[in-house]
Amino acid sequence: MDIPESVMTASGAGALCGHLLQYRRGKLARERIYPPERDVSEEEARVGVFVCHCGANIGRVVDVPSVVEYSSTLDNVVHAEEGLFVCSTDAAEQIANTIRDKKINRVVVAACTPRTHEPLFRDTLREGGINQYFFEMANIREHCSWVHSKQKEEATKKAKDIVRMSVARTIHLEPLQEFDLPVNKTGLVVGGGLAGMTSALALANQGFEVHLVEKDTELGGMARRIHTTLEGLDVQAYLSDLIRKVYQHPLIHVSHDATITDVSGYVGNFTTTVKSEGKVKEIRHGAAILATGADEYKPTEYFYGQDDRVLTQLELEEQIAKGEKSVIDSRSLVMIQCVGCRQEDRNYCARVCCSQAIKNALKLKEINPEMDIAILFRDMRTYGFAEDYYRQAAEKDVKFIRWEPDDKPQVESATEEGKPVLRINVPDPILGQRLALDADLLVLSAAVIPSKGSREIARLFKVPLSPDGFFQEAHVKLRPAYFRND
Amino acid sequence: MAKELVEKQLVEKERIEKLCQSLAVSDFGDVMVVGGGISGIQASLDLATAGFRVYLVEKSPTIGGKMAQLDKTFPTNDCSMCIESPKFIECDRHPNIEILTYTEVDSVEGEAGDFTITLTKKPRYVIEDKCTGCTVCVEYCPVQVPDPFNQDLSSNKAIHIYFSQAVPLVTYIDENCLYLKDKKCTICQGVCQNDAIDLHQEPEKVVVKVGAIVLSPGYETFDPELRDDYGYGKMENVVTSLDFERLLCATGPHEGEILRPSDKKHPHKIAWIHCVGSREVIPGGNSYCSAVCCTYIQKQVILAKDHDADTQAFIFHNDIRSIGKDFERFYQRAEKLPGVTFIRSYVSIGKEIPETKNVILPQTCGTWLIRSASSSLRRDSVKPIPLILWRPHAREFLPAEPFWARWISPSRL
Repeated sequence: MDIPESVMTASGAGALCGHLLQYRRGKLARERIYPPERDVSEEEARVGVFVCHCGANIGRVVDVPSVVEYSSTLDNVVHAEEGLFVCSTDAAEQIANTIRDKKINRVVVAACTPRTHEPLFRDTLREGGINQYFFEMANIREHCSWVHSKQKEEATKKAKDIVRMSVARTIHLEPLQEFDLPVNKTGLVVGGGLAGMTSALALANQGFEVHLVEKDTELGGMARRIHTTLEGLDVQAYLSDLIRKVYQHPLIHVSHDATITDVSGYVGNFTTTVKSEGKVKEIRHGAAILATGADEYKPTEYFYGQDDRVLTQLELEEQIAKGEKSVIDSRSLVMIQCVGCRQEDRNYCARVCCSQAIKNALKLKEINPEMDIAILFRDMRTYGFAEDYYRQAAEKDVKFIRWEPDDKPQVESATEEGKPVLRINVPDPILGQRLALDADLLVLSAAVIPSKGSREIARLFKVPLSPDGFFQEAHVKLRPAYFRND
Repeated sequence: MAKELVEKQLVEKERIEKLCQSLAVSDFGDVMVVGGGISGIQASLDLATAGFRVYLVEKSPTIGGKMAQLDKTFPTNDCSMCIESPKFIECDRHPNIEILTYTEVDSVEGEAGDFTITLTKKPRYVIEDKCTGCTVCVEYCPVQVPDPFNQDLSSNKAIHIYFSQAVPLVTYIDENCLYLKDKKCTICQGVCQNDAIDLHQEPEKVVVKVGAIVLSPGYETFDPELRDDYGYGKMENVVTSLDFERLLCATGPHEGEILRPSDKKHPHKIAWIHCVGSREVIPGGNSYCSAVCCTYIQKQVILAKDHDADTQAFIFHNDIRSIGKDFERFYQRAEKLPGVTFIRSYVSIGKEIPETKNVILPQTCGTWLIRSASSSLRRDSVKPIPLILWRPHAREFLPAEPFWARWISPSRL
């Protein structure tokens, strides 16, 4: 499991605990106690400069001792020192002590990026008993040692310049006070699929009111079209239970057939205008969860839409669930992976198609063991425990044939033994020969694409999208479920 | 005016603090998080910020877990410790988080809402409250031991701090200590200015009551030595990918210089072997895919090329599983680098040249390789490739409830 998934599941586990222990929330919690803030308004600026080696990240390129020496010559600087890791707990404590001992009233930390470390150092200033906004971070890692790793002297010179500018700036800083604003404790969830309903329940179970807004006339989203999981579990049973829980929860208000027409306000106090079933209403909420989901790409490749024998994986699943004779009685079926993705215009992997293809192949083999099934793939991406099903499919004689993007499978209509078939022509890299596979059905593993409404939702909520059109998280590793604008 | 406000707030805070202290007797909390890696840290911070009192239990001497050992994180190549360590301090400073390191869970009784957990605090032989992390004891300690944080690729002292940003930032003494072995040396006790060394510490039982438990024990990497494949443990220049993370890292055994274990020289050709101990149904193997190795190997290739642009990289794989956001582009970035060759084939190790300790990969790696490889590759593959890396993966996972939408909730709870 990758780090962002670890972080998300950890937060999910936290939410479950929050549900379980909602009755005792806050009973044992304590407030952080800081020393009283020193009034420095009558003092001359007394700047402390702390220059970090960041292990070897900075120290290997920038001459840290010379930056320290230079800093101590600057006007108003009363203390300058270096540290191996200025962010370590002992170093932070040391800074707090130095602030008190040397009556420092402005702090410059020359180290890394304020994005990750500014809150920590501001907290350190509070520990040292001065206003946290008397702080300035000089980024001599990203701006010096990393980008100028081959030019040590120039990088050092630039580090000195940055520190000098930071020192100059701190002298003009004013103390700022933070205060609490009233926050609306209602949540808005956009999208009534699995993710949206699960989040709505998580909020409601912790005692928060939730408005769940769904563009369709029914809840369920994409999951309505999925019948089983790879592991064989019943999605529809789970879904109907989830939908029932959502409707029955007294704190969840569902709007169907809904369009969001306007969003105003800011984190903590939003007003969102929703048009639903002919009525317009204004919803006030403090937080928003965007769960607009994704769509299946409608292929333009391989005669999709022109020939009824060409389906997508989702369509195949629906046909299998319905017990459609023409599908389950086919003699042969070919699946082509990565249709519409892992290519220039959609340069990403849809993550689910390999497992879905195997799921459907196994299901078909279970119903009709005689069926010939071939999966034409580029890389089989059955990561995690899905690997076991890939193996199972191979054991059940599903054929896996790899193709390269510069020699894609070709499809044509043909006649074999007097019956019409789709002939799929594909090179087999192991045999070193081209294969012609005759299929009654061709199933395309079509790309997952951002849902239709997500661009408009992103515009309304002013949240960024990735180059591929999916929502862009605040930090790929550590804030995978937050937006940057907080 | 501002000053008055601050003082008023402070009085109010003190009042709340006193009230809470009277409620929060020391063994009473809301949630216990077992495992102090990035998951445990995140769960603790979320819960503590939401108003719950959290015990964060970690078996090693510091929180941080595997993420702390990584050099960079894919696909942005962010410095791993730089993004993780602010969270250590956030945990450390959080009034609602009690961190218990070097501690293991003995038993759990009760049920959801009312658990009684018995923990064993292993002896650090250092009194946490007295140690300032000054490391004078480390300087004077005469015993060199392999450093576990650096995957035993460098040495540390029998008393040492796990890593520079450790939380808590205090030393611990490992089993190689001369006093613990033969009651022979007490130098650290003599040099410690704070009387923080206690060589007679015993394991301590701690009983804690909580309402819920979050299990985040993380993973171990597969130990290729167990199965005696690929020469790991025998051939000096064969390392695992986690070993290689440490070799890449500025805080690693050679301060970020990639040096071969055998002769401390720069390797010029590096081969990575995917799927070691996974995607295989044989004794000692694991059937699943670890889901992270493909991309971290690409990261290691990019970083190795960054360290030395002339490095030749060979990646032996079977399917590249670039499944995450922006992973496909990351793969393309690695693949397009000069001197980087992705080879779709598993490979076996031939032998080690005794004089040079170079490792040789056999000329023919199966028909797949020959068919898909360019002629230059085949020529190269007979030449010695001095460093072989492979991928570890996780095993022994917690059973989750048998449904995907509830998989974060282990069925036991």
